[in-house]
Amino acid sequence: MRKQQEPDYLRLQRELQVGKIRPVYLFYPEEDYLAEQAAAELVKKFFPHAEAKAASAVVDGREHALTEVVAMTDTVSLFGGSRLLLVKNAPYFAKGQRLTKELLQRLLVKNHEACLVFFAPEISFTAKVVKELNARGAVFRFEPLKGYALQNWVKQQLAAQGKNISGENLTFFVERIGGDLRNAANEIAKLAAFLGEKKEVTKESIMAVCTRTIQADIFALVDAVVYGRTKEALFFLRDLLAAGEPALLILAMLIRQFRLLGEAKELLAAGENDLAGALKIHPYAAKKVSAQAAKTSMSYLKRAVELLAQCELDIKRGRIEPVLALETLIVALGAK
Amino acid sequence: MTYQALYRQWRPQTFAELVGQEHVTKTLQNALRQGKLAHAYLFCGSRGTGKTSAAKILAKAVNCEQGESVEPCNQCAACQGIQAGRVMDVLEIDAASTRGIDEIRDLREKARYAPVEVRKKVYIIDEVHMLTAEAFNALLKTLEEPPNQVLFILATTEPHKLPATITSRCQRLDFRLIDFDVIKKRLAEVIAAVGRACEEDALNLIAEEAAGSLRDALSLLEQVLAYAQGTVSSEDVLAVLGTVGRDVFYELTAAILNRDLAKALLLLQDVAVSGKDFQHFTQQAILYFRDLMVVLACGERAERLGIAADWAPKLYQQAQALGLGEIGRILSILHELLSEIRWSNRPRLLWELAVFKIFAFEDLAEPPTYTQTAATTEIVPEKQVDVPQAPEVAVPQQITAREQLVRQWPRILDEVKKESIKCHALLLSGELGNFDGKNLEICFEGQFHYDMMEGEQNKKYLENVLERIFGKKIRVCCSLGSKPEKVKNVEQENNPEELIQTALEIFRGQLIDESEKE
Amino acid sequence: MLWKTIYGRKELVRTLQEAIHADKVAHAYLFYGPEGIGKKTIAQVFATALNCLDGQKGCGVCLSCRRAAAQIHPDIHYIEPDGKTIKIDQVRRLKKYAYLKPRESRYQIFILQQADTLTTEAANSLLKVLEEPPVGSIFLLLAENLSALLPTIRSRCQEFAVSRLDRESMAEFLRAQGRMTGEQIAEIMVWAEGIPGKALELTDSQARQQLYQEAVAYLKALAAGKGVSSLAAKLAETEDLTAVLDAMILALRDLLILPAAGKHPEVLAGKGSLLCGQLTEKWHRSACLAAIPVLLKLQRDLQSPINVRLALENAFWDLKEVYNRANSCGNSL
Repeated sequence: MRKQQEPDYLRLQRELQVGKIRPVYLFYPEEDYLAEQAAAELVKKFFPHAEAKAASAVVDGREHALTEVVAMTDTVSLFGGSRLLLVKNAPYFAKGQRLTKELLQRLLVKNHEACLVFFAPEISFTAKVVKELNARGAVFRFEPLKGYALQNWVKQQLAAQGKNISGENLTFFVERIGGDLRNAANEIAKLAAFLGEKKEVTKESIMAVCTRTIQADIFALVDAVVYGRTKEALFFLRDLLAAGEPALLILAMLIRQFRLLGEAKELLAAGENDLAGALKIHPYAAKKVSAQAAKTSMSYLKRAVELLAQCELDIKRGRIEPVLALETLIVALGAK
Repeated sequence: MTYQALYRQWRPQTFAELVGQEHVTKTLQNALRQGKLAHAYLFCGSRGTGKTSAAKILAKAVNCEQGESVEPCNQCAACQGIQAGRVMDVLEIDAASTRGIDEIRDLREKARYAPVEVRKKVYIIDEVHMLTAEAFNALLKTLEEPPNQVLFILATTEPHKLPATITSRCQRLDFRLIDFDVIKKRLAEVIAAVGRACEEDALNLIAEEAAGSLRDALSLLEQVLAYAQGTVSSEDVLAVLGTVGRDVFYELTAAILNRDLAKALLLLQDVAVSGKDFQHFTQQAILYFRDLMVVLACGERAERLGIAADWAPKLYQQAQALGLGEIGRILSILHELLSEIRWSNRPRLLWELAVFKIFAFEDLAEPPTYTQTAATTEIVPEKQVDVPQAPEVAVPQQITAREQLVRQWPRILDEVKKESIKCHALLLSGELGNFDGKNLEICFEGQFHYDMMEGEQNKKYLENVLERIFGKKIRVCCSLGSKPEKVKNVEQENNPEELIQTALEIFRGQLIDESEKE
Repeated sequence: MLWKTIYGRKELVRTLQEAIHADKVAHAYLFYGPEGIGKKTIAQVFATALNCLDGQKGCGVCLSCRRAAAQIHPDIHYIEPDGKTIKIDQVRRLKKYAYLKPRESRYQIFILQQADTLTTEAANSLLKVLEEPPVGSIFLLLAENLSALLPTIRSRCQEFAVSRLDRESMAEFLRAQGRMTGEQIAEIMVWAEGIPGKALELTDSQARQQLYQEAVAYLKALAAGKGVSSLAAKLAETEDLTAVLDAMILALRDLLILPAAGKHPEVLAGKGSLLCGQLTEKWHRSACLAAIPVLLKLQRDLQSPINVRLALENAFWDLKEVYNRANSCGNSL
């Protein structure tokens, strides 16, 4: 387990908790939902009493030069006192941008009355201004959350809605909804609504309302097929189709999954230890895939490839109706 | 043209009336109760599962004059106005017909202003995946900063066509295919309410045809009620659908299993004479064999996959008798047939040809049954001296019969394997002896195998299979000692027929393998 | 009562009658099915009934019905392909009538025959008027080949397959046309495969027998090794070439099912007695199975403008090959 540095979003949370507010923030939002949330919290902290929306302003950095933006903060706000400016799409920190010394100074000088928050899609860490800000700890990188960080975040969000979730269910839930935080937030709100008064998140409730990613469904389908649970596999197929997923897409993903399985088998046979890393998949998925690889023979996988190819031809040539072609494929794959 | 179709008359007006989507109604009602409605919802699911209905109910619930509650009262002016589509603040947009960016821009403009008539503005966009890219962008801007007084409800049957930027800003609720029983129950309610009656079988047929869509079920019911006079029978439903009952395919498959060509041809005759459409018939046939395949793979129960419970055991029986390989082969023939029938004027003929392919008669040998039938037919011409079929019957049956047996041997072995793996292995270690059309001799070299074959069930298995394939009782007797010259006989024929080769391979090849295994 | 002139197709008839009765008539209908199946007849009856002055019953006696029957009804328009296709000018003219011409009757009806031959531009033009039809106008599209129609046009129409006739209805139909058929109805059903238009051409049993005999003769000749060119030449000269080809196909089919036909001679197309001796000996199952598709393909090919004699020669060569191959595999017993 790698020792992880505290993610920036948590650092910001901590700082806000103790009431530390910087004059300038540089947000680097790869994960923009997270950045949005952070900004919202900052705004709340900045204006504990006022109607947050009214007191803060949002401008698009592409439409204003940096000098303009800085100048805006000099204007006294309607509410008197402080002014917080959110600058979206700030281009000033990218490669090749240069700032004058004065500008740099203005940015770094503490100004209790204003707060500038830059959302910069691109940051060059060699630029002087960035280096300076970074040294002061004003640069916050919002990276996509993965693994335990993701799980913790989800757990936190659920807790905020008053819901508890066990470790096992948490893994299940996270695997199901994927890593996009905005999506996840919606799923969490939905789950919370579904649960109503109940506090504990159950597996059934997750299965009842959470939208599966097609990837998760395909995974489950192939798992069922490999273990000879053809009936289950057919159910998964039916659900996928009912959700509107096109047949050719399902087929393409099945092909990809089997290819992965083939690669896994070869890697394992060659003595690979870190399957997850080698295949670039989630460790949870890697565990399942290696079990599948153990269960299937090379000749089975070869046959599977033939069947998949034939299915594709059949559908593309219009020889067989797509749903039937897929069902036939799955039955054939599941037969021993 | 102001009549209302049945499915519109019976559209659910409250969450309670929305059947089959409990997980959705629970989520929405809880959110209403707690005052935690999302700004934007995305309703996804197949046609006719309740998306538009749910959207309207939600719009009413949110704006009901009795207060924002978990169910609309449907009495107040707001509820009734929204229901009738009279309220300006609740706008229903069909993206399939108005894909343009103008409509969405218009929407964005209007969204800025506070609602005039009701509490909250609701914009329902149906088939939202049809919007153009520009329209999506415009919509996205509004979703990014949703005005407080607006609720967006997007609905679609194809969520994967939506940009991720849009879907991630909505709370997605998935509408499932409605269960067979739920549809059936609803249909029964409607039928009773309109003062009609319907047979159980007919009800099952309609529910099955609907395949999870309540709207389709009600549309079909409407057609059927219009057509039928008095109580609705399954014949009525089949007439409206233009389809043939499942039992026809059951019989056809039975004919295939029993090698009853005449029966199969007569069934086709019935279809032709009834004027039913052969293209539909073919599609139904494909579905029937698909059902056989599914039932075999699932081990009987498979309602969720569209197989009615009362049919499953019979289908399973037939499926087992055929075997997956054979089902696949027949499906292959049917697929080809379907594409040919589309362009043909003689669909019945094409079907007859397909039946021949399915029966896979060898080029020469015709199963003895039919030569006998032909000999007794009136078709035998009066004047001709040489009775046409006679030569085939008169020829010493020894050779013909045995030849036929040899050709069918691989298939016989296959069938026996399905009944008993042990018997199959035994047969492989034996050799074909004499066959006079009535008695079959199997020769074994070893006492052990001879004993095994003689005793127990093994002889019975073989006799059953032989009866099934040849249509008559054939007695099996075993003998000790090998008869290599018989095998050579077959070899000497030097017949290019593939099947003979295969038979030899199976005989010789597997013979060695099996003994290794043992 | 005009509806009675439509035999069989009870569901379709009832649906259309119900639509009129309940005033649920759609703006556009699409009737599809093979040639001769009765699309035009049904469209005509429907159109007549829609404008019938006696409660829209389709009485056949009121002035409107009588004019419709004589095809001189001012508000029932027929559009046929101009040559091979329905062209845009025709659709433009149609639209002129639809939008401008004042109606005398309840509905102004446009019957587009062979709508699957609409050119693309004509189709797109038609689409506009189907999307926003003028009040009181109805479009009846007739088509053989559904897939040749724009999906956008199809989705604006209520589609109805015009099905083949069942035996009783066919018998009634032919009787009503003054052709007595009696026990021959079974045979006619095999020949016409439920298509009334086709059956009308085949009611003469003598003619059928003759065709059949001719077909059998060709099959015998091929088996006897007669020259392909001369056979093809002879057939090319025949007036009813298609009919003979049809008969050949039916004869081959009969040969195939003869053994199984057994106690059910009604499944045959011709007299089993004709299929005797040499014919059954030479044309074995595999030969018949292989020969029929050759002839079916030939029939399809002949629908396009090709050299008939050449096509026949090619097909006959194929037949010969098929026959020889089947017989060389030691078929003789």
